[in-house]
Amino acid sequence: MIGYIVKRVLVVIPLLLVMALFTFIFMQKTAGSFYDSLRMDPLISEQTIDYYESLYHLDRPLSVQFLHWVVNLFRLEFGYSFYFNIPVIQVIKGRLWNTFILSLTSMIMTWGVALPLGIWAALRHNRFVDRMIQFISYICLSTPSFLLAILLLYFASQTGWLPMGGMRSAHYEELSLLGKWWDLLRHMAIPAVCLSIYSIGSLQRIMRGNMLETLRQQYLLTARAKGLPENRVIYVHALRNAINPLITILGYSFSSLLSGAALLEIIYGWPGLGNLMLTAVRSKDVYLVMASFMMSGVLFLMGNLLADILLAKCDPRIRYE
Amino acid sequence: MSWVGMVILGLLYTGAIFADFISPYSYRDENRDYSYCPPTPIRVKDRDGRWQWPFVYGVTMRFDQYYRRVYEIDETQKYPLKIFIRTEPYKIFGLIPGSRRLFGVEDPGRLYLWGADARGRDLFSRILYGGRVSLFIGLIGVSISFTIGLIIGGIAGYFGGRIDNILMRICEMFMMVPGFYLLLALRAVVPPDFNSVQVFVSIVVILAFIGWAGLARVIRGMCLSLREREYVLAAKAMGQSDLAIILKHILPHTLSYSVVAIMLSIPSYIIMESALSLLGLGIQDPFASWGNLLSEAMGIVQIKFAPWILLPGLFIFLSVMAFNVIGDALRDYWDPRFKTGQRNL
Amino acid sequence: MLLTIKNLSVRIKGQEKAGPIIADVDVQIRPNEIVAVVGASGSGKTTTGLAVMRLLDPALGVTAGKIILEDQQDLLALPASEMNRIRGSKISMVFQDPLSAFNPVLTVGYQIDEVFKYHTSHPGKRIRSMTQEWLQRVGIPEPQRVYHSYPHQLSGGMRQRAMIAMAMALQPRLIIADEPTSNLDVTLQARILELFQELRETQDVSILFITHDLGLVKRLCDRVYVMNKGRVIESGKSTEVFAAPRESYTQQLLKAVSV
Repeated sequence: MIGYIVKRVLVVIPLLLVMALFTFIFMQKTAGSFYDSLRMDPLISEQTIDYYESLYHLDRPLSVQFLHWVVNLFRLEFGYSFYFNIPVIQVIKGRLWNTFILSLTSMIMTWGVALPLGIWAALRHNRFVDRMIQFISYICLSTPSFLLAILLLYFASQTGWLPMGGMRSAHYEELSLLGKWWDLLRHMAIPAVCLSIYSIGSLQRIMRGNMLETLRQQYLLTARAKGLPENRVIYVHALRNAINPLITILGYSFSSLLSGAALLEIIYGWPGLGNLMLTAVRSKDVYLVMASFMMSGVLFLMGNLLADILLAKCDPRIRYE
Repeated sequence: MSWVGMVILGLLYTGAIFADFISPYSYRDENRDYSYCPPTPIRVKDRDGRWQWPFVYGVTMRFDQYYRRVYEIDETQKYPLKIFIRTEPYKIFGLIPGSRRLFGVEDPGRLYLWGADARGRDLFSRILYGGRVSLFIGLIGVSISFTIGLIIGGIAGYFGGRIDNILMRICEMFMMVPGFYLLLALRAVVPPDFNSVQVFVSIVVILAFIGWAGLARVIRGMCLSLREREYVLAAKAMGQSDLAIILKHILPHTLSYSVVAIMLSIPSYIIMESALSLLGLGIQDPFASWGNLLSEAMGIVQIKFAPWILLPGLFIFLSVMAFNVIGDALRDYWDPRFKTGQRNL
Repeated sequence: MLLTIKNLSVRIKGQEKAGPIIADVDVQIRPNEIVAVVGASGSGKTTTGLAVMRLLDPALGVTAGKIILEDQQDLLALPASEMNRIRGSKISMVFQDPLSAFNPVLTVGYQIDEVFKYHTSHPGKRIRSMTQEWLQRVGIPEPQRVYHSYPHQLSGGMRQRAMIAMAMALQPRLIIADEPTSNLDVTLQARILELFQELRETQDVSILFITHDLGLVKRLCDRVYVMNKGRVIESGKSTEVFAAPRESYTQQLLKAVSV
């Protein structure tokens, strides 16, 4: 088991390095005479610029610069954000967590809704319930998340039931602990729902397909022949098999949620990594862009790794290879 | 169901291609007097209930006590609908000249079938023109990524071994990069002084750049299994070159899966472009794309007073849904398990 | 009489025009007897077996007949929950392909434990030891290891033995074996047949042996029913039927196999 994890991690490291290289080359293309224009900015002291110039060894050849940049990454030294005027790492820290919880909530929502719906649809194959669920899935799959966001925001503004943006209410600090949780949930409601809508449609269909496939299997006949109650036949024997392929999806869906969250953060004003990335891109804040990009890559890869590990744990056929 | 999908797509694409002709106005035809003017219904009966040739009433605008615009119908002004109305000359796709449009009304009347936007531009026309961008980005983007995917997947699947390994690692690398972030990052690299056409092209290229990996994976999987088939071995024994084998024997069998994969990936291009334009990073004013048009809807106030600006969203939804429905129907049609059973499209 | 199948007819629901799957089938099984139902594929033998367990495909329906267990209850008339109690405990089944018959993601031991768990109220530890006892009794050399193994980790022969252990767990009175040796090679076949013999002698169990292989029938079974196109065309003591087959179909079958 440990061996498997180590193997997967080893594969991931060169990929990260390539991503880093890619990012670095980017930086060179866009930065240009970056520091010269910075010197003209009265808000930034000479010392800061000198510090960063030496940190990144701009006077040395590119390959050396790259090496230093990578080393700096490990020291969690991501550079300086000239838009926010604080080191990048401070900017990213908070945002990372926000994006994470949004994606996590969305994932819980997706799986909590899609799996039961998929199972239900498979058990009532081709009957009214099944067709109804299929139709709703189609709509979920085709609705762009940002369109739903705009519509929901509009309704929020008209009814006042849910907040219209941001992550915290103005009086957040004064709330009790429970109040803070509730406030957070209320703010998360709209973006999480919009983020989940597509995955709910897609996951439900996959679950239904897997379940239908599993329901045809021979071992269910054996289970019934043993006199097991139908509930057990379906929810233990069938479900355990139907869910397996979905485990891989678990990790990848988390990664794609992180990516998809970006757009919704921007529309909703949720202070997350995606939102940050956009601000960084718009203001040409090079180090911030690069760091956000690398960070998102890392999260993404971690999600994939998680998926691989989970799959190995759940499917005994893979484990012993 | 899929017939409905095909009809919808047919209508959308026709509308997009012939936008110049079908729409009453050009996409940049503005009239700020009529900012956010509500839709002007085409009537066939006048005040007294008599049947008339279709016409629209004039619209006058005044400011109310809050300085909001209020539009009122002025029944003294009647503008009959004209077919093949003569307007300013245009060129379809910049090539074919024309000077008539399908329908419209004479100045100073305005025909706003679906309302007007902030600058008084006809939404109906802008949606038709917008379709050009949104619908064709999907097609062009998919052809690029599909070509790349086909080549790489075919090579990887056919040769196997180390080549397969290396190519698949590269594929994974592309798939591992979070799409939206990459989109933003790449967009930042595009020089700011590109004109809209260049922006369009670069967006397409960026999207294709991200999208080929998934297709390549699928194709490679199929090629891996196909190359063991007897007709491939026979062709090899006869001395056919590898390239010829790939092109003539293996790739044609991937056709059914490929078409399905294409159909189902076009919607993501449409959505990605819309998302980019929504953020202001895609197609810029005055050009229209559905995402672009939706960005006006981001302000809540506008939705309340001019709900018609949400219409482009409906079109995005319809086109995505149509592609999904057709793709699914095709997949069911070709799925070997279903071959013995239903063929109700 | 342990089991009496009388007049059984099964057809596809809603398709009256197409012929029945099986029609007018009469079978009798005495205690401690091995009875064979023989026929080519499509003759209806598997359907007969599944009908006894009331595990027919939902698209099929029993249109006539009775299945009487121990001269007391008509299985076809029982409510579903009662039937569930009989399955696995009074009558159990062994299937042709043990690899697909076992759930691939659960251990063999767990799946056999389930039989105990749902029909008895023994504590977990006792169940585990009983399962391992049975594994040993069917001739599996390392019951502990097999108990914790997954189906794909075992050899074909061991899997089939494990399935037989699962069927025997609650000491049923009847085992319906649907082509239990068709997927095994000849030597393994012989061993499994020996196992069935042994079980018949040491336990109080009868076996309904469904097969297409007459050779097996001759070695193992006391009585035989020959089916063709959904009907029983010949029946009797296997020695008598083999010596002097009355129907031409039976004769053809015998000729085709070097018995």
